[in-house]
Parts: sequence; C-alpha cells; structure tokens
Amino acid sequence: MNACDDCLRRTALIAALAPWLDVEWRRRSAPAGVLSLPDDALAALDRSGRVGRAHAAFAPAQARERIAAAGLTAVCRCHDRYPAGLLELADPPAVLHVAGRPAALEQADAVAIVGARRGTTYGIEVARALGRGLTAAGVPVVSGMAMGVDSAAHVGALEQAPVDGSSSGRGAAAPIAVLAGAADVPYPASRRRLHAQLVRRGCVVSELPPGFSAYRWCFVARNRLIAGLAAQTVVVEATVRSGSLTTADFAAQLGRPVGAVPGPVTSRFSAGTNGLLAAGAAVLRDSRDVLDQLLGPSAPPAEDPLPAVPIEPRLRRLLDAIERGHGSLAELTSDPDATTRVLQDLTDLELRGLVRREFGGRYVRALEGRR
Amino acid sequence: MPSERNLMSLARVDTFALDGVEARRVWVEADIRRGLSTFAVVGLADKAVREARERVRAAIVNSGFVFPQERITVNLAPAYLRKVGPGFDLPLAVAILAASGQLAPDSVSGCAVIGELSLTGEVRAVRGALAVAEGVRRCALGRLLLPRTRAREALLVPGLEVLGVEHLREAVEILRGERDTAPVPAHDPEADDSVEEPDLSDVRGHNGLIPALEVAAAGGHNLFLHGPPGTGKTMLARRLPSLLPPMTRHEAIEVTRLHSIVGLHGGALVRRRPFRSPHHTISASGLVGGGAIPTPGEATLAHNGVLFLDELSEFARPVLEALRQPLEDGRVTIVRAQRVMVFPTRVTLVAAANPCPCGMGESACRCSAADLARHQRRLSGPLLDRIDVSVTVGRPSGAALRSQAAPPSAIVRERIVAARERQTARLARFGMTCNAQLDARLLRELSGATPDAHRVLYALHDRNRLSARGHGRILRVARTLADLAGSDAVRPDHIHQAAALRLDDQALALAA
Repeated sequence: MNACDDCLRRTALIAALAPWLDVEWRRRSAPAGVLSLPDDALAALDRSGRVGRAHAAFAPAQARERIAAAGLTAVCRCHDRYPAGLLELADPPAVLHVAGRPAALEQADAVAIVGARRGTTYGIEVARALGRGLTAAGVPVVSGMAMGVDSAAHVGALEQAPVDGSSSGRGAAAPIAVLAGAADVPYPASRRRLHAQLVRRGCVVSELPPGFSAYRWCFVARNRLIAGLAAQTVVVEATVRSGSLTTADFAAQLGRPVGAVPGPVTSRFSAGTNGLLAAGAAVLRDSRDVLDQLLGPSAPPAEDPLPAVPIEPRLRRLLDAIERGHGSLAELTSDPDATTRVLQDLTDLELRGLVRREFGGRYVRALEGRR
Repeated sequence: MPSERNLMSLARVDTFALDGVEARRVWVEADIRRGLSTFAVVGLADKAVREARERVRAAIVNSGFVFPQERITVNLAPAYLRKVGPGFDLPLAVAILAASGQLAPDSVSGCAVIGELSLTGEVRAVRGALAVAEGVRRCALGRLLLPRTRAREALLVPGLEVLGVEHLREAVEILRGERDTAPVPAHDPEADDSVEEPDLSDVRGHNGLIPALEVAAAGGHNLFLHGPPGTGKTMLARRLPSLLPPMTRHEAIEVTRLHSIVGLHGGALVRRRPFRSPHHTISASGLVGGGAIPTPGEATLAHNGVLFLDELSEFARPVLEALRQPLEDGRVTIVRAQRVMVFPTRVTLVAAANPCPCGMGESACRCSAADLARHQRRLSGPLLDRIDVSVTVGRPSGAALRSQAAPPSAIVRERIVAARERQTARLARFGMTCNAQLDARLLRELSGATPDAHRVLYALHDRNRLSARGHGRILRVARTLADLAGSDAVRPDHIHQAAALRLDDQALALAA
C-alpha cells in the first residue's frame, strides 16, 4: 500500500495548519467547512505565507521515509484499498496512517462503540461485553481508545480477538482504534499497553502524520472517522455534553444506524444516551441486539462464551443482592460466622463469570455468563 | 584539704548517649587545674550539651556545693560519637564534684549516671531510660543513677541497682553512702497502666467485615480498606491491634524502648500493641526515620503493632516508596556517611482509600475522568503489592447499624491466637512468626495446598490474569484461613475464600 504525492502533501498542510484550525473550526461551526476546503484556500489561512511556501516545497519522499520510520503504513483516498466507508464523508482524510495490520480495515462491516470517558461501572461493563460479543461474532469493533467506555470496548474486543492478528481462526474480528493524534503515539498515554495490544492484534489509525500531537479540533475530526469506518454506531453512556454524541451525529449525517444503551433516568451519565433513544435511536441491550440491527433479525446468534448453568438458590440470592448494587461484603452478610461461606460463594460466582470483583473488593454483575 | 585537691583533680563518670535506638557508653572526664576560671566541654557535644555548663554551674551552687573557680575541662569520650540532649547534665555535675574533691572518686565507679538538671539542682526526666538501663547491664556496671520518674522503666532490666533521684543533693548523698536509696516507686513496673484499648464490640453494622480483619490479624497480612469517607475505615483499623495476639515480654520491651527514646512514653512496660496513624503530609524521613541525627520514624514507632495509612492516594509517592523495603525486611536501614543504623519496623500495614477524590460514591460523584484516572494511578502505587487482604467498606444501612454489633475483641482474638500458634509451630525453624512473611519458595513448600486447591487457583489465574505475585498472595491468605479453621491442608474452599479477599491490581487497570 502507498499514498500518492498529492494526498501526502495535503496531510502535511493540515498538520502544519493545525494550530489555526481550532479558531477556523469554531468560525465555520463544522469540520466539513474546513477540512473540505481545497489546498490553496487552506494555505491562505496562514497570512504570513510560511505554511504556503512549505506546502509548495513539500518533499513526498521525506514524508514516506518518516511514515516508514514510525512503522506506519499509509493509504490515500486515491487508493482502491482506502476504506470505502470514509469516502462517503464530506471531507474524507487524504491519507490514513495505519499502525499495526492494515488488513484489519478490510474486514466485514464494523460497529463503533463510543461513550463517556468517565463511565460508571455499568457503562464499563456493558461496553466490555459489547466489545467481546461483537468481536466473537466476527464484527470488528471501532472506538477511540479514550478512557472509560472506549477503552472498555477495546479491552472486551481484545478478550476475543485472535491472538496472532489473523482474522481467520475462530472467525473473531480484529479491533480498530482511531486516534486524534498520530497513530504511533498512544493517547492517552496511560493507555500505552492497550495501544500496543491493538497494534499487535488489530490496527490503530489516524489521518495525521507520525509524531503529531492532537489539538482540540482533532478529537471531533477523529469522531467523524469512527462514524465513517463503522456501519453502525453504538453509544454506551454519555452525558448530554459528551463528545460521543458528535460521533452519533456524524453517523446520522452519513445515514448509518445509531443505537444507544439505555441507562437509569436518574443518572446523568446516561442522560445523553437516553436522549438519543428518545430521539429515535435503536435500543440496544446486548451484542445480540446490535447484530440483529446490523445483519437483520435472522443473524446467527453470537456464540455463548459460557453455557447457561442453573444456579443454587443460595447463590441466586447472593447474585440478586449484587444486581441490586449491594456488592460489598458487609452488605452481603451480617453474620461473621457465615462470612466464610459467602466468601466462598462469591468466588464461585466469579469463576462462573456471573460477577466481577472490582478493585478494592466490591462485586458487580458481570455480563459474560448467562443464568 | 588543698593538698588533697592537688592530688585528685581528675574524675571520671560513666554515662550513656542515645545513638539511634541504642544507648552507647560515654565517659565524662573532668579535669580541674589552677588557672583562670574557665569551663570548657569538648568531645563532639551538641548545643544542648554545651549549654549544660550554665545549668551545671547553677545547679551545683544552688544545691549548696562549691563550683571550683579554676580551669575546668570536661571531655566526653569517645570523641567520634555525637552527644545529643540534656541527659549529660547530671554526670557532668557529678564529675566536677568528684574532681573537686566534694565527692569521693571511688563512690562513682561502677555507676552510670544520667539526667537533666534544672538551675535549682532538681533532676529532670530524660528519654530512653530503658535503652540506657540495657546498656548499663551490657557494660556490666551494676548501678544506674537516674531521674526518679524513670526508675520504674529502668527496673524492667533485671539485676540492676536502680537509684532514682529527684535532686542533685540527693544524688550526692546517695553516692557518698550517707543516705539509702530512695524507695523504689511503689508501682510495679510490669503493671499495666495504659488506657483502655478500643474494642471490636464498638463496631456496628460491619459484621460481614470482621472475618477480613480476623484473617489479617491471624496471618499478619497487610490490609486494604476501600470505601467512601465516613463509613468506618478508621474505626475498623483502630481496632486491629486489639485483635492481634498479646505481645510477648520481649516484644513489649522492644516497644517500650522505642517509645521511650522518642519521648512518647516513660514509665511502665507498654502492653498494648502500638497503633500509629501518620497524616498523609508526612515526609519520607518522618515515616521511616532519618534526619541529620537519625531518629526513628512512625513506621518504627508502630513496630510490633499497626501502621495505618489513611487516604493512601494522598501520600507522596517517594514516601510510600521509602516504606516498601522496610515492610519487606521488617527493619529500616539508614546509612549515613559514618555508619549504618537499623531501626526495627515489623508492622501490620493497614491502608485506606476513597474510591474517588471527592468520595461521594458512584451516583453523586462529581470527579472528572482525569481526576479519577489520577486518583487510581496514585493508588496503584508502590505499596499495593505488599497487601494481601482487601475489602470494600460500604455505608451500613440503618437496619444494620441497629441490629449488628460485633463480638468483643477478646473472643475473636482467641481464634487468632490459636491460628498464630499453628503458624509459629510451622515457621519457627525459618525464623518467621506468621504466614505473611512466607516468601515464594517457602510458600510452595509449606502451603499444604491439595491438588484440587491448586486447580481452583489456576482456574482463577486464567480467568483474572493474576500476576505471579497475586497468585502467591491468594495462597498465603488461604494458608491463614486454613490455620484459622484448624486445617493442615489448604482445601479448595480456602482458596475460594482467599480469592474473595484478594487485592487485585489488574482490576484497577481495567476500572479507568
């Protein structure tokens, strides 16, 4: 794969203009307004003409060297392996920089899972289960590697994705992450390990050149790529001002289905998603709902990681209490002499995949096992 | 009289200087010769010792003795040892009185002297009497003259003639043999006069957590309490010392010596296990000891007891980093240019933390994603892999507060003592006392885990991607649970229980 000189030149121009674009973006109140401008108009944003001169003197060979040195693969919009979904955007990025395996972009229809950076336990758990379920069913998961819901979706996907990255195997899909900055720079930095895993077993893409660190506008611009790469967008948890709602907007503009996971009406972390549902987005409860919407109701059922096991009444009662949110030891038992039994049962439930032990020791319902 | 003066113008008195947590023998030599009236103190004395000149002069005169108007030189030997504090006042005065012939020189031989003087000649308390008394016995001196208020403490060392005095005049009279030793304080030094210890039965609404405390106490495991503020984390931690087995006499002496040296305590034997809860603004040297003249830190003051770090995420990282090695080794080693000092720090660590910086709990929490991530990053700090047992402390419901009262400490402690005895029997030959001290190799050898138990452990391992350390921690706690249940073998149910008490740092990485 490779990128043509014109596309590389345009990418360099946008990267050079990045500091101006925050202002310009707000003025035109739409990314399409800026990123779809022709090269000359863009270069004119810098009155000093310095960017324009650099644009004229651009050396594509050097750019290719830098891309290769960073271990990236570039694919431009003139190339036939450029993701078709992106071409429907008003402003498809000139070049996609791919860290990891470019073949991951050529898988079947992908689903975007996005949501709050500050997710609740519920949102994290649902995002992870969705990532896991869709990947197992062979549907690639696209997300933005942000903290909270995005990372959880990637983590869930990695739990099922083939270890060596080959999309054959069990038919599981490889995960895709889209970054606001360069594809070779983990952002946020705390997700370094996740980034490395995604690169090894799927791919991380960005429209900006290697080493580039993101400006504010880049995050919204990134969201349009997430929506563009996915056939369907799922919002897991979002406040009313959440950036993940812009991803849903982009998807709607592209005419692609948008769905949301319902949450408690009392939680501000679900206010954005519940708002989407009220506005007509599809109600998505689990990965099966997503697959039904994506492939039609006759979609093959996702493979259960665990077969359904009937559980004893004692464990059932414990599980009920955990589902009601009483997950700490003192809430689960009042008799010190009975506690050893409860401790034992908790690990039993955990080994069956019905609950998960959070940091510190609170138990929450896991979505992995079925009753 | 003058001829006698010329013959005996030199005198030597034994005393002790505190050096870290030990007392070292120091000789106070006084030399008086004709010349201009001067008074010099040499021998690496700090400011408090040099100021002693004024106190000693006044105390001698005000006690009705004569301060020689001649050239006085006092040497504190050995010269390399730094002498700190006011405890040299009394030996200095005694040495001058002996050198000036007001006291027979042989009356001070074989007797160590320590004490601070007031200008009236009154003898005031000094720190570290127990350490000094131990030093006296080590040097085979036989007698110790010290402030009366510290006589009880010195009497903890057997086979020592303890002379407790209140005034310089009294000290001289005793040394001259003109007066009997003041009656030893009526109080028995072994008597227990510490204040009432907080008892487990004060805790309401946390009955489900008692077994976690029990396991921690039984195996000496470090404990992590995770939960919103005001739910009782401190209250629970405060009660852990009352669950630990009573201190042996040896341990009690160690604690008494340490506490006396820093001036926390003076008098009878400390019987309660210490509980220290330093504020999170503490410095590294405050926590593990240090300073230009190394002094013990909070961790050493918690020796044989509980060190409680509330708001773990608020402690500065280097401070926690400094605590890592001492927790592992059971001692702090402080290296200074000249020498190395070792402070004992065998503690049970209890760390507590809020789930998020605002501490309001999930639904009401107003922390941003970045705040939360920072909090969790700070939590995942250097100490977590030293902690075996972790529980979430929730806000008890009204019904739980009403109906649940914990059993008294004494009842729970019985089971703990029995479990400790089993451990000691197993571990004594390795010089260990509890399961928490087991290293990876010994754990493999001594865990007594059945093949079924290992299978459960591996199932957990696969599901949760446990680290090798996490694996060992579960096995260690399971060993303690088996000891509490009186079982030699670690069975699968013990592993199950231990796993439900584990501290899982992987879960922290996933949470954010």
